[in-house]
Amino acid sequence: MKKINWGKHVVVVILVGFWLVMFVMNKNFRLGDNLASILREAATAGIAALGMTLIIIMGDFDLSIGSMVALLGIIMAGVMNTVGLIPSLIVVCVAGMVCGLVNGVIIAYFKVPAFITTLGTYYSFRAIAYILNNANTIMCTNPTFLKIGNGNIGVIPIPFVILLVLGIVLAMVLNRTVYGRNVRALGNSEKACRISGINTKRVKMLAFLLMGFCAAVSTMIITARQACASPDVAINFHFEAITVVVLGGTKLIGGEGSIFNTIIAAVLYASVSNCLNLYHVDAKWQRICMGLILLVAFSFDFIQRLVVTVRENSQKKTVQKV
Amino acid sequence: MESYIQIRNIVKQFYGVYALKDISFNIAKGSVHAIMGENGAGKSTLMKILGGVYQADGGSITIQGKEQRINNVNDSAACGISVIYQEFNLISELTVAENIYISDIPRKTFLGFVEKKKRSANAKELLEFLEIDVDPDAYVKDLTVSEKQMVEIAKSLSRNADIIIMDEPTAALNEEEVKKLEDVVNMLRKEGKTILYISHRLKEVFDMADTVTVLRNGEYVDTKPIGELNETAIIKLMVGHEIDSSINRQSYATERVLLEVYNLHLENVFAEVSFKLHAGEILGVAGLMGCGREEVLAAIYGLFQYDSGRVLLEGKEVSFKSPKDAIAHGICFLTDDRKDEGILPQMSVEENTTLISIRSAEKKLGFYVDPKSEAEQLKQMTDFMSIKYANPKQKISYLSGGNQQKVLLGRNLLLDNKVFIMLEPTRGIDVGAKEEIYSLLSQLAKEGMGIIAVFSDMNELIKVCDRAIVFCDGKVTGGLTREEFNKEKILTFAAGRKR
Amino acid sequence: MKKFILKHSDNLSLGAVIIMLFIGFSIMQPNMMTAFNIKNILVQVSLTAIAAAGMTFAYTAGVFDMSIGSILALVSVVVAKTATTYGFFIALAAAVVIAVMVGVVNGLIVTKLGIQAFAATLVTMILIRGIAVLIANGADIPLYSMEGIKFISSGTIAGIPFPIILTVLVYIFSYILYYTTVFGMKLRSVGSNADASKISGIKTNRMVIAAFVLTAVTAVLSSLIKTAQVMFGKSTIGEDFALDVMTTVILGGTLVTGGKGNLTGTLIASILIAVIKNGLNINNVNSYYQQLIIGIILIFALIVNGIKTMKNERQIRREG
Repeated sequence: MKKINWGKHVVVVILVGFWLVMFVMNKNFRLGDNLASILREAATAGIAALGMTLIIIMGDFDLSIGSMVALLGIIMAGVMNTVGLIPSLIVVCVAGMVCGLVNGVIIAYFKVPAFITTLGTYYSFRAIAYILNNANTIMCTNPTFLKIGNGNIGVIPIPFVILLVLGIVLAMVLNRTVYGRNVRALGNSEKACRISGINTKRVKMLAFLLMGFCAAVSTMIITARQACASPDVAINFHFEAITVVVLGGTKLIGGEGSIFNTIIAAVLYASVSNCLNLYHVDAKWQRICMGLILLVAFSFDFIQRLVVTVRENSQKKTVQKV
Repeated sequence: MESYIQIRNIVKQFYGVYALKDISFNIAKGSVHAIMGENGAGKSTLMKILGGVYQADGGSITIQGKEQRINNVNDSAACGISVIYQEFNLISELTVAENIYISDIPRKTFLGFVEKKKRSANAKELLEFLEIDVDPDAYVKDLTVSEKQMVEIAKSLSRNADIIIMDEPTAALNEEEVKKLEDVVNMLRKEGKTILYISHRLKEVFDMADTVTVLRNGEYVDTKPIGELNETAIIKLMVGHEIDSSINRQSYATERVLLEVYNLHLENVFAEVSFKLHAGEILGVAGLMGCGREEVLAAIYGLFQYDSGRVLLEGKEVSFKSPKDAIAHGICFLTDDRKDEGILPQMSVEENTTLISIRSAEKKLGFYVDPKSEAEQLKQMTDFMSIKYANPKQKISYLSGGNQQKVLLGRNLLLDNKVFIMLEPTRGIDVGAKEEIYSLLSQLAKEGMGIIAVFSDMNELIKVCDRAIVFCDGKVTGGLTREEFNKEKILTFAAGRKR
Repeated sequence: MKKFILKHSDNLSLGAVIIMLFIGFSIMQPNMMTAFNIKNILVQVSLTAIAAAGMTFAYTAGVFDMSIGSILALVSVVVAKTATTYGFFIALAAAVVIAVMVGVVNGLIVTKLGIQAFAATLVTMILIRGIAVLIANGADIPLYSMEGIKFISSGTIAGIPFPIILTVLVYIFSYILYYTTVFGMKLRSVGSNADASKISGIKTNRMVIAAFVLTAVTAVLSSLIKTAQVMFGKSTIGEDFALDVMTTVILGGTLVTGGKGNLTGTLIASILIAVIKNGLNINNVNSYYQQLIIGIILIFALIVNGIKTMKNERQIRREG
């Protein structure tokens, strides 16, 4: 059994702590329905965050996922009424992978930096979404479909189950396969990878393709919950996803990270948001809260270094300065 | 008689580990004083303390009879100290003049506007004094390493530094440029400047220095005038025991030709490159900086494509489109830049070692990495090379340079390979570890591998290799067998044609 | 003369593209060439161009600022609220104070907390937008017909709209600051190699903070123009502003890695984007197509740039 490095999994401690406090302080929090709703919420950003974790570990970014979701939603909903549920789900997955490939090809083959490429597709994908349906919203009424977003398996919401399943698969890919190792290696040193004969272009493309797939799954859930597809959806989605990834302790420079942490962070994020709702905190303040959480998440690194410096200073006291 | 600079009882700790323990010695005014020692001896730390980048935990520094408190870079500059680091502290997007006058910009009006013409003129003066031909308005990023070094020296002069400290100044220079540096150092000495420098290169120390101080493991060993020392004596001081540097290496070279290269050509980089590598042979590749040898080897390995020419591996013609191809055919490659192109710093020792080999290892269910076979692979290399680490899952960045290099070698040796191309296999590694790597190379040669090794240090090349080829300006200008090994000859071939 | 062309080839080619596009659009729709329309274009330009000048400084210093969109909103709301009660000049003062404060906060988060610019300005973006929404309390704040404010967007001096004059002033100031002062040099130094700059005695933290302040100040100017255009304090404006401005700066050729800012390029890129948008508008093209085209142009421009850089690298390798 691998020794667990607690330093890496700080977010678990925070989540457990938060839940304990909330359990005690607020009787509504403890309600089964409420907890289920947290898990349901967590899945929305969480699934996209899974793909984003992969991308960030690899040392890149994807700003376009919000626009992807908008575009994919329109495509899926548009197709659903004509070809039926299952085919439309397949179509959206394929479309998601195509979107991911677009990013991947430009980044891997044309060597345009990820930030800028996904900035371009951020504009382009959403623009296509508006153009495709003339900026109109498409309603979705298929009851089986709506269940994806709103239904449960036993007591656990379906979206969360999907999150777990996808999470387990991606975690195994990342930690146990050669491909996963290549992704992490790429985030460490691209040159070393090239010299070691790793096809860096293919690794990148595949990662963005997976991201596209995750975006597609996210789209399914979001659209099912809203019961409609609209080109304005998911405007700040990339921020949410990145927040969750960083909250989980994954560093933005890449090279290391944990899918498990991302899932925990997604639950934490949803828990805090839920808690704010329970206390009837005004929507205006909620945004600020979320910003503060993000600030704290980003400061993890700083706090770590602070702790190290304090430790070093206390050791220094044994040697006198002349 | 009081010495110009007196270093007394300097102590420095990092996280409880002593980098410097009670260092005391004197430096005479106007002398060229070399600081020598293995990697980790504490030389850089001492320089950084003098430069104000680190603060000593204890001890004192006295300059001209006055004790100095050097708490930061400004204090150091105020004492007349100027440090030139190995990686230089030049700003590539700024011009030469801007870099020389970067701190304390004297040519400005009170509103903050810069008098560019005056600054460039002053810079030109300094550069002319050092007798270098560099345009003060050229961007630093376009300069050669040697020119950058001169700019750094000019920078020190512009600040009226009396004490100039240099960290491995000759590490990236070719022989011509080293000569230039020696001339400049002599000029500075005549101007009354005191020069302190760190070096590994024994020969240059004998050419340039008056005095040598040796540190070992953070402790002070000795200081002696250069006249009282020879190479063996210095090495003995640095290492603590005598290293027989004149082992006559046994050659394992056979007649069987492993690799043949004919007329390799890449426009403006290299041309008409031909050579042979035999099984069991260690082939040295010599040449000055920029001679094209690294490019040739990288091209053979498939890192980029050459225009024309043929490469034959064991008689069969091959052309590698990518490193993956080369690896599949049994050729592996070790870069000279272990930090940026070799190790994966956030990943474990185990993962670093098995990076390539894991692809062809036994896998569970066809695509899952088998932790057992991974551990076995690591163990195999650890035993073979005595790699030292606390635990296989530890991050490779915690290992010493020498052990990291062994991991990188191991990464390649886990493959079934016939040819090993190495660029500077012993760069940045201390003397003890170097010897281990030399024996390793011998061992590999004995087992029939063909090794192509690039060495910038000709002494190493002569010591380790069976044969050598020399590059100059992208062409092979000469080849030497063991018996013909002679530094002057190598240099002549390397300097084949003036640019 | 040849040297001049070679040195400024990037900017010149961008300029040539603008002229060609302009001519192309005008052929399709002659209305484009009117003085009225050109004035329109230039006013549009000023909104992003001014903020882009500040952002160019940020990129030069090696950072960038995603929060300027939120600054736009905050200043709009604050100015609207204070102008109606305390008058024009107090409102202006408040705007400047906000600019400096935000810039300093952004700078401190990046330098003292050691958080990267992306992350730091992501946070401030969300927080500042939150504050703006709070202050506005869910409604737009009307500015009635305050003459002073109206002048900022509609006034003219010698027949030239004020925003254009402001843009010109900002760019003149920026050029001077960038090319002739010690500050400009230090900024470039920090962006190119922060560690070496620090060792050379440059107070890198101060430079980064200054870069953020400059970015915030120009964003405030843009905000004033925008607010004056709509005559309302709105907490919802600027959602895409940061990305628009960053696109402009990147398109203009400023290196994303720092140390080399291209003010001319930024200006030309703003004009280019405005010309494209205007041209498409006049030809009755769906505004969503505009976004698409801008996105594609950005990627395309960088692909071309990428290919050029790869060719350059091969050149450098050959010359030793």
